[in-house]
Amino acid sequence: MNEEQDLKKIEHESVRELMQDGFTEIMAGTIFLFFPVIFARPYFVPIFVIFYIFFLPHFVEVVRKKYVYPRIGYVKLREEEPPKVTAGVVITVIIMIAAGIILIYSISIGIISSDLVYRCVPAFFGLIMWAPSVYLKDKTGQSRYYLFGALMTITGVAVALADFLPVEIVIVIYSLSWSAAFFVLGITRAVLFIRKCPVIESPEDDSGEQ
Amino acid sequence: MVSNEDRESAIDIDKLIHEPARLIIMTQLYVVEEADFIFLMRQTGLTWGNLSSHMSKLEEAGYIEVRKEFLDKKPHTILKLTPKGRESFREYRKAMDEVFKDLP
Repeated sequence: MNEEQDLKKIEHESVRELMQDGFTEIMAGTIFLFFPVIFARPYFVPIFVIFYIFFLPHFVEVVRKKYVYPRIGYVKLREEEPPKVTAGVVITVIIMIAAGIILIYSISIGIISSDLVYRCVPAFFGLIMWAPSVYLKDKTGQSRYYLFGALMTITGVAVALADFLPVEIVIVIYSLSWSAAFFVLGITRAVLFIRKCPVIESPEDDSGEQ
Repeated sequence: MVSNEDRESAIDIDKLIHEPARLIIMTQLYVVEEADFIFLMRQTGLTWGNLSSHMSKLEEAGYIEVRKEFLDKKPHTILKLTPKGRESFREYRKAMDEVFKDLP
C-alpha cells in the first residue's frame, strides 16, 4: 500500500479538476501578448507586474466564482512552503546576475552584437519555459506539460536561426504566435469545460430557502 | 499468545476517520486547503445527505471547520481540516502503516 502515491494522485486530480477551465492557458497567452511591448519599452515592466500580481488574480477569481465554481465546486489548493534559501540557491542567483552584467557590458562595448542577443531571446525564453512545464507536470501528474517546454524551446531556437527574419520582429513573431496558441487552447478548453460541466443545483439552495 | 486486550491497545486506530466515507472526505481535505460541498460531492461520489451527515460528525470531533457564506445570494458551505484534524489524519496513517508493517 503506497499511501504517498495515493495522496499525490488525489492531489493531482484536484489540480486537474481546477485547471480544466482554461484560465491558466489564457493567462499565459496574456503574458506573451504583452511581452514584445515590455521588451521594447522596459519601463512598462512595473505596470505589468502590478497588473499581473494584483489585478489579474482578482479578475480571474471573480470570473471563476461566476462561471467555474458553480459547475465544479470551489477548491483552494494548498500553498507550497517557500523554498529554503540554501547556499546553492544564493550561488546560482549570483552567477545569473553576474552573467547578466557581463552580457550587458559585452554588448555595450561591442564584443557581442546586440542583434545576436535579440535573436537569442526567444530561444532563451523557451528554455525558461521548462520551469513552468516541470511545475505543471509535478502538480497535475500529466507528462504532456513537458511538451510546452519542448515546443517553446524548439520554436525559439528555430526563430533564432531564421536569418531571413529581420531581428526587430523575431521576438514579436515568437511572442505573438505563442500568445495566439495559448489563447486558442485556453478558449477551447473553456468552451469544452462549459459544455461538459453544467451548473450544479446545490441542495444547499433548497435548504437555505427553508 | 497475544491477548485481545494487548492486540487492541497495541494499535490505536481512529474509528471516526476509519469509516470509509469519512476517510475519503478527510483524505480529500488533507490534500487541499479548503473545498466546498459541490467539489467534495464530485470528488468523493457521496450524496449531499451523506456528506452532510459525515461532515457533522467530523465537525463535532473538531477535525474540520465549517464556514458558511453567501455566494450570489446562495448559501455556500466551505470545509477545511483543522490543525487537530490534520494531526489526527497523520496519526491515522501511522497507525495503518503499523497494521500492515509486517505483512509480506
